[in-house]
Amino acid sequence: MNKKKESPRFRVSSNEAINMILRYIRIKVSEQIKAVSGIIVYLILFQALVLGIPILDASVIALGMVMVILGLTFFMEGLLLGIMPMGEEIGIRLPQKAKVHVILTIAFILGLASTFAEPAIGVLKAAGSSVLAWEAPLLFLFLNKYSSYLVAAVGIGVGLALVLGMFRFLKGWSLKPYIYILISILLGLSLYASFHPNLKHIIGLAWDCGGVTTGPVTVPLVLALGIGISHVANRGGENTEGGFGVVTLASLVPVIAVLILGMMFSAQVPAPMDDVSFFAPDNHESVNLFDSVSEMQDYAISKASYPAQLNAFNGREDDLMAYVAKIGSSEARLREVFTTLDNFRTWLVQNGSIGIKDQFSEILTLEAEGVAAANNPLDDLDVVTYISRNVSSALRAIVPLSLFLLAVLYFVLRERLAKADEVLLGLAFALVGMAVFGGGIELGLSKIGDQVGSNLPVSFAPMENHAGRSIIKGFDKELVNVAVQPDGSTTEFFYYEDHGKIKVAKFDAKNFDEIRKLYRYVPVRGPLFGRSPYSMAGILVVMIFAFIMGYSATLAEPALNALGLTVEDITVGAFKKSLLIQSVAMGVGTGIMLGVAKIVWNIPLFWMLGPLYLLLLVVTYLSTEEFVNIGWDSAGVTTGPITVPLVLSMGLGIGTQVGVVEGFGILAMASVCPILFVLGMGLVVNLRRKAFLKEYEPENLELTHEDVAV
Amino acid sequence: MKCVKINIILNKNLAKSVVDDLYALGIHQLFMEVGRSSLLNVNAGFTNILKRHNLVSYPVEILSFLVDEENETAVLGYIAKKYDLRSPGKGTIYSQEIDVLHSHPEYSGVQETHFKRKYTENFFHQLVGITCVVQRGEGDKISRISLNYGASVPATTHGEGSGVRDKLGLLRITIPPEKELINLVLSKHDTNPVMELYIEVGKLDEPGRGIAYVYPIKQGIVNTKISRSKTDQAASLEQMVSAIDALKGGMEWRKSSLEREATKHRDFLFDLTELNLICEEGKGTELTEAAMSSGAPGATICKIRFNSLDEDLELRRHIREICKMIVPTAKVQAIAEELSATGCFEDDAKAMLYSLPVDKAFTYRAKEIKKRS
Repeated sequence: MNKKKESPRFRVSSNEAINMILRYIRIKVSEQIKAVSGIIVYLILFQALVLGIPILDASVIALGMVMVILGLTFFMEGLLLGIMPMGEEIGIRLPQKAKVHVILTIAFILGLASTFAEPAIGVLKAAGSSVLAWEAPLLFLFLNKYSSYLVAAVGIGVGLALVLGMFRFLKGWSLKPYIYILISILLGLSLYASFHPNLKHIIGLAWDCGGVTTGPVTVPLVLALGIGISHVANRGGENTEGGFGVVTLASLVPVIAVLILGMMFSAQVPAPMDDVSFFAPDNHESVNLFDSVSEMQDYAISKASYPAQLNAFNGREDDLMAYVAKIGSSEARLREVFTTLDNFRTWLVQNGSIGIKDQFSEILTLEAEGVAAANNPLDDLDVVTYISRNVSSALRAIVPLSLFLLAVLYFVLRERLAKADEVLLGLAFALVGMAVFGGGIELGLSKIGDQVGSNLPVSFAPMENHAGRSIIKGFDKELVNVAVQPDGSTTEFFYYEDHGKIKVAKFDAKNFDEIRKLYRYVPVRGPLFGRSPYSMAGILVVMIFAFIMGYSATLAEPALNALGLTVEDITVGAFKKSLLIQSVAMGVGTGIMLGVAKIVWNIPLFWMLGPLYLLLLVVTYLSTEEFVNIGWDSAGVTTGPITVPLVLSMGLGIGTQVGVVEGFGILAMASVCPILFVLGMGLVVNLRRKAFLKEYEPENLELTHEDVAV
Repeated sequence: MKCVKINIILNKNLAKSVVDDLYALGIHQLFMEVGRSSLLNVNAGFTNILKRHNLVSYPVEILSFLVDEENETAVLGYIAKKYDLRSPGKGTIYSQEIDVLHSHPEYSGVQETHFKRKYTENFFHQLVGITCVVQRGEGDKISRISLNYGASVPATTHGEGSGVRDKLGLLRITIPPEKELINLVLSKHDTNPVMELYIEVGKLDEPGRGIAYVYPIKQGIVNTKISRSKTDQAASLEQMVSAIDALKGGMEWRKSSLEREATKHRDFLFDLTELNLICEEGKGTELTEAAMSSGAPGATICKIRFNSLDEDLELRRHIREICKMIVPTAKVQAIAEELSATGCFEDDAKAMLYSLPVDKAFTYRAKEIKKRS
């Protein structure tokens, strides 16, 4: 530029400025309230009206909800002002100045870095917290000792996906062959794995990895980068219009990576077995699953049956008791191994020797206040760590990726950012938004999600209602009666009078304090629907709940909103954002519903995913390139920060009640169904368009330019 | 350099085939813009109760390229014949006279076609174009007007506004820049009522709502399929109307008992020119600023695809930006010079600047009381 005149700034009075900002905030906040209120209201109403359980910590949850809304507002604005324009601009400049191999290297680093920036491993660990080492050793290994390998495999998968995706943009290839090939490999590997005793348990983990790796920062960034790069292509680049498709690859390739990782390690772990033989002294392979012998012993004490615990100590009871006594004397160790004081008490009642019972007679007693305090020791919030945890995860998600991209822009491409002030403000918004949003999820959404999720099984099975428990004073063993069953087994019970009504209650030794003659009475509720446990009616209620929850949580997902806006923009409104979001939300709802069915009836994941993906291949073949790109990408964005914690709490709640090995697979189901719904909707839209625009078909007039004359 | 710009608006599915035909004719460079068109869905069944006329949108592609006057009718005639644009619902084609002020050599300008003889078709000559720029999300309201009025089918495109907003500093983020442009070609005698409805429905007489302007069209064929309805007659109403249009050689016969008198006196702006600056993606904002320093009030920047058969470039950026500015005719020269001085017509931004006359325009104007002498 030879000459540059500074155009004068427009002066706005401070009053006007405040008005403008207020109006802007009002519009943006109300958008998010619209998006989030559905799921919030639904969860509260379901818990209060259907399950009939009061909401604990209501004020904290309310604060969390407000934080979710404010955080989302900032975060969405940050995506639209900062992250997406930055990605798009770099995408536009990259192919101009950089050689193909440089672009692909940058894409790989970006994919790898984004996985480490938004680690989904926490989510996966939570989903796998009920996995027992002896039931699924390989899965246990990847969730604990080798979780860093898992993250690395996923990172490499996402990196490769980005490379493949960018290469596709540069060549202008269709997405369909990619899908055909990847899905064939995936289904082949999963089929093989489903016949392998150890590998079959990581199928769910692998497919879930694909869904959760693409986080709320990565998706919009990759989408925008793709839009930029796809602006550069050979003629015939119609296939890559809009920059979609990378997200699809980023949710398929990591699945392959994780399955391959599983195959590499499957020889090193013992086959699934029962806990007694798992901890048997001659089973040396089991120690490989843990960092040290003492860690294995901790694990045995907290999870395994008593004979297995003895095995972990080579059958020496004295060693075991001494070890537990040492744990009991340190508050920190107690929390580490038993989590709550109550669990420790239960252990003592059930397994403790007389000596150790004497040593901890204080804990064995059941004081009313003591019980209440002991049950919720982890609930008191440490404000400092809470804030620093959320701030640092927001920093980690946004800063390294942005710095890397900006460094590429300034040092590799030697270009400047247009509207740098706007982008920086956007990045700051995204940062603030993510921290506040993450904190709000923790305080509000996951709390209510946990409450609903853990109480949900009451609709189809009897459950202990800990909120309604009371301490019976002067309880004596003589009050206990015995009931006999046809096969001769017996159940101990006692009569209990509650507000003038005489009830029968089962006797549970772990609730009895022999020294002070106290009994902790925990009433049992449910099943709320249907007469007998596991009746169809009760399960149906849970499935309907799952559908509505998945549907309304998806409406609030920020990455999906970003995708919807992009789709609407690129198709100039012919494909409305609301249409996309609605069909994706219906898909997620259906997927989560099927996932619940998988857990309740313990259906192997492969037999659910396999047919769905085969169906998808057919639908993909029939669909237009435009819908294939958008539909498959929507699968990657569905499982975001709002859906995932809710799905996890629900899955854990049901899984614990039903007693499944692992609760993975719901997220994978929530990824596949939206694709079907979006592609199905695309087919309908195309059919309709064709039907009423039939006249648009060119009549095959055999005109050439030679005979155009009259 | 005066020449003719031909615009074709067609269903997106047909775009590739039209591009191939044009290449065969010798049109090696053209611009493509994605848009949407709408129809009224009259037989919407049950939903009729809720909404009187549903709007059904479908994607269209807007193609444009430059030819000289000699080739104009031949190209128009060929495309109109081949794609049967006479029948309602197929598409719109029209030509405009433009003046190319500056151009980077990459653009070949006027393109020769291979026609040996000229083809003449009965085109309508009494046409004008109206473009209305409003905030994103308001477009369908405006689209509905010409459909309900029975005039013709509009094509909506997306753009971003640049102007006063960019002078606000960071406060600009409080005003969304996204705009919708509703492009309509219609019979001249429908202009006033449609314009009046645009102003009324779009509230263009309020600040910050948008602008509508009218510009001349040389000749063309207009898509008049305004509603989707089942036909149980031999020919649909639209087909009959368009057959009479063809017989009468224009749309003037459809005398408007419907025509409504402009109830209000509107302060239209005159002596304006539409300046179009095509440049590389990402340069638009900067160049608009330069134009604004010489008196342009602002611009709407749209993304268009530049299609060229020249195969020498492996990785070519085929997305360009087009900055549309409505400026006082007196300032065109100064703006062109200012833009030239930035060097944008060289390799840096690969720009092209052309102008079109504007008959009249309407937008909110602040009362000029505060103006100091």
